[in-house]
Amino acid sequence: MIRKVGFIVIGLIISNYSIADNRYVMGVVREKDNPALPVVGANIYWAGTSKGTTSDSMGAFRLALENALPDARLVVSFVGFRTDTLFAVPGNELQVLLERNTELDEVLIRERRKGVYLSTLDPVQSHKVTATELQKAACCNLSESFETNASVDIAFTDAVTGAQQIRMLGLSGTYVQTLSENMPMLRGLAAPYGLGWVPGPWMESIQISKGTSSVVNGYEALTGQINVEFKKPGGTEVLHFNAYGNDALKTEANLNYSHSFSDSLMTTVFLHGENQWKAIDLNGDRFMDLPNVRQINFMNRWNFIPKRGGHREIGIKALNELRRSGQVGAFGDPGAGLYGIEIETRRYEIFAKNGILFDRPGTSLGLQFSGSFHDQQSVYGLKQYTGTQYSVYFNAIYQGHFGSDLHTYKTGISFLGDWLDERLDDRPFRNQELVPGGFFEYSYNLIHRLNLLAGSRIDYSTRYGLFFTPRVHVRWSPQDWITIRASAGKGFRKPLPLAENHYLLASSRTLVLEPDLRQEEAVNTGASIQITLPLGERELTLVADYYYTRFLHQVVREMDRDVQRVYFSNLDGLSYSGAFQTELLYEPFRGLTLNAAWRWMDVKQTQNGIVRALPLTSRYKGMVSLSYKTRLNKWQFDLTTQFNGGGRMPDPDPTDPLWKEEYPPFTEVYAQITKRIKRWEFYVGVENLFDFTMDQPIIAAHDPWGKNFDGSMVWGPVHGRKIYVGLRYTLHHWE
Amino acid sequence: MNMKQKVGTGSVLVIIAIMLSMSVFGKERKNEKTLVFTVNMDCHACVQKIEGNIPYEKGVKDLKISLDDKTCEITFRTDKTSPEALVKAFGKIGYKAELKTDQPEEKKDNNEDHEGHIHQ
Repeated sequence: MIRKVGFIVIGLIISNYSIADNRYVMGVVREKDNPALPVVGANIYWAGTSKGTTSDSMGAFRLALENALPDARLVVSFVGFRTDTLFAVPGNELQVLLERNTELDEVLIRERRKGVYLSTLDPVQSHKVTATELQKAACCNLSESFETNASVDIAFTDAVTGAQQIRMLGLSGTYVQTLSENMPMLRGLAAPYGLGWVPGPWMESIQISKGTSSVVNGYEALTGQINVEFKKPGGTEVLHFNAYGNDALKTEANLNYSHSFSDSLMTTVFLHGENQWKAIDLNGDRFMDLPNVRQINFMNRWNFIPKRGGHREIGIKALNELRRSGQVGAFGDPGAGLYGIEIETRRYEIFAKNGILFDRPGTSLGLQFSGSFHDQQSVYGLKQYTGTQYSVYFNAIYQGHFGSDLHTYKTGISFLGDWLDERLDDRPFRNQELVPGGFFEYSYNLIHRLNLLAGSRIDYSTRYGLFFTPRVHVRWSPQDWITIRASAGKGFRKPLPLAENHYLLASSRTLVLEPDLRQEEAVNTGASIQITLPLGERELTLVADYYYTRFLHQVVREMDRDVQRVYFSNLDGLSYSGAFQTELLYEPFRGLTLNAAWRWMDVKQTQNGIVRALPLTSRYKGMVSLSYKTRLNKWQFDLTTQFNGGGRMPDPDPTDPLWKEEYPPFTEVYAQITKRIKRWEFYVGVENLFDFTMDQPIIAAHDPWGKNFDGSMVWGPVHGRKIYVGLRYTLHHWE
Repeated sequence: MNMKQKVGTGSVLVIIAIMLSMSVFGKERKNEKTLVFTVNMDCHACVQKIEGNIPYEKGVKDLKISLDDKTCEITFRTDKTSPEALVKAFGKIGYKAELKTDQPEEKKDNNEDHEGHIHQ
C-alpha cells in the first residue's frame, strides 16, 4: 500500500483534471520533436497487464492505480512512434514525449542472446531466425539455414543435380512463399536451385510463418511464408569476411563491405564465390555424389534516408552459376559416352523501395519494386533444356489507422508479371501471366491481449481470370504465459511443371504434361497454442500446432502409374496435408539452450483415382538441438539431431522391382564448435556425423542411357559425413 | 553397431561431456569477485561494443549487461585485475564507468528512487 502511495501523481499543473486524485496516474502525451502537438489516442497501460487507457483529444490520460502492481512500469505506445516505458514519478504530472519512428518496419525485435525468437505478439505464428542462429551451422546458404529449425524441412529432390527444396507441412516448397525483404523471390525457373543462391553471410534474419499469411505480400503462400532480410547499409557491420572449406573439397568465400557517405547515404557490397574442386564418388556408382558447382554472386545496395523521415533503397544482384554433375569424367572426355549434366545459370535482379511518412502520425506509404531476368542453358545427358524468365513486381502499401493503434489497416495495389519461355529439345513452351491486384487488411490490436488480422485481396490474372483471396488470423493471450492463435485463408499459385521440376530430366522418365493445367488453389486452416512456464530459474516454452491444407485445385505429379513416365495432371479428387507439431524450448541453465520438436504428417493425394500417401514424404520428423555458450561467449558448442520418418516410395515396376516400396527412417547429426576472439570467429563442424547414406541413390546408375535410369528416387543423403572448417572476421563501425 | 555408428556415438558423447563440464566449471571459483559498474551507455550498439571488448580484458570471467539499468556486472579474478583496471578498460573504448555504490549483496529495496525511461 505504501508503495502505491509512492506512485501518486500530484496534478498541480493539470489542465484537464482540476482536482489531484491519488487513486490515479495522470499525464499528457506529446510529440518529442514538437511538444506543442498532443498525441491523441495513444495507448497507456501497465506493463504486463491489459489494464490501460488511451489519451484524449488533448493527449491527456488518467489511469487507475488500483490495478497496478507494485514497481509497475507504464507503457505508452502509438503507431508511428517508438514505444516508451517509464516509471510513474511521484510529485509531477507525467510528461510523456514520444519519438517518431523513422523506420516503416514494425518495431525491431532486439533479441540477441536467443537465436530463435518465437514471437508472442505477432498474430501470425512465426519464428524469427537471427544471425546468431544462422552461425550455429556452417550455413553456406539459405537451404542450410533450416538445419536447426523444426518447422521447415530441406529435401534433396534428386540424387544427381543436387537440387534442394524447402518443405513445410509435408508439402512441396513451391507452396511456401519465399520472399526477399517482403518481395517475391525464387519463383519459376529459380525454384530448383535458388536456395543455394542466397549466401548465409548476406542474411540478417529469416522469418518463418506457418499457415496462411498476410494478404499484403500476395496470394501465393499456401502452406507458409519465408522472408529473408539481408544485411542493410548503415548496420553495425563495416566489413565482414568469411571463408569455408570442407573435406569434400568445396570452398567458399564471402566479403561484405559497407560505407556511409553521410548520415543519409550509405551502401553495402556483397560478394560470394564458391567452387567444388573435385568430383567425389564415395559410393562407387561412378556418379558424382555432389555436383560440381562454381558460383559467383554479387549484390550492391544503397540506402538513402531523407532528413524529414522515410527511406529510399535501391539494389542490384547478379549471379552466375555453372553446375556440372553426372558420371565422373563426363566433361573430361566428351567422346567416352559418359552421362553428364551441365546447367549454366545467369540471373540479374534489381529492387527498389521507397517509404514515405505522412504528417499524420502512424500513416505511411511503402512502395516496392523488383525485376529479374533469368537465363538457364542446360543439358541432361542427351536432353536439352533452356529457359528464360522475366519477372516484375510492384506493390504499394498504404498504412493507416482509425483514430488509434487499436484499429489499423493496410491497403494497396500490386502488379505481378512473368514472361517465361522454355524449350525442351525442340518443343517450345510459353507461359505469360500479368496479375494486377488490390488488397485491404484490417488489424485490431488490444494491448497485446487480443489481435485480429483480417484481409482479403482481389487479383486478375490474364491466364486464370479473377480470383478472391480472403485470410484471417486471431491471436488471444488471456494471460501473459499463454498465447492462442487460429488462422484460415486461401492461397493460389500458377503451376509451372517444367520450370519447377526440370531436375526430373536427370532420369529416363518421359515428362507427360496434360494440357490446360489449372491454377492451384488451396485452403489452409490452423491453430496453435504457446505456453511459457517458469521452470527452475528459467522459462520453459511449449508450442503445439496443427495445420490442415486442403487443395481445391492442384497439379498432381504422379510417378506411380508407369516407371518410365512422370505425369502432370489436374487433381481429380481429394488432396490434403495435416501436420501436428509440438516444440519445446528451454534454457536449463545460463548458456545452454535446448530445442526439441516432433511433427507428425498425414499427406494424401488422389493419384489415378486412388487416395494415397504422397510418395517421398516422411511420416514424421523430429529434432533435438542443444547449444551451449560459455559465460563470455568465447566458445560455443552446437549439436543437432534430426529424426526423419520413413515413407512410401513411388511404385516400382511390379514385375521387375528396382527399388523397395518403402524407405526406412534415418537419423542425421550435425555438430559445430565455434571459438570467438574479438573480431575473429573460427569454427569446425561436421554434417551427417553418423555417415548415413542411401545404398542406391540412383536407380540403374550403371546404365544411364538405358530405360530404367532414374535419379529422382531420393529420400535421404547421397553424400556421407562432411567435415568443415571456417573463419569469420567482422569489423564494426565503432572499431 | 558398426564402426561408423561407434565413431558417431562417441563424438556425440564427447560433445555433450564438453558442454556439461564447461557449464560446471563455469560456476564462480576462488579469487573471483563480482561487481556492478554503472556505465554511460544508451544504445544497442554500445552493448555490442562492450560485449566485443570487455571479455577480452585480462582476468574477466563473466559479463552481464543491462541496457535498461545501464549497468555491467563483471566477474573477475582479483589476482589478475582490479576494479580500477576495469574502469580504465571502459575508458579505452569510450565509456565512463564507475563502481555502483550499492552492490548486489547490500542491494536495498529502493523502488522510490527509480527514475528514467527505457525504450522498448
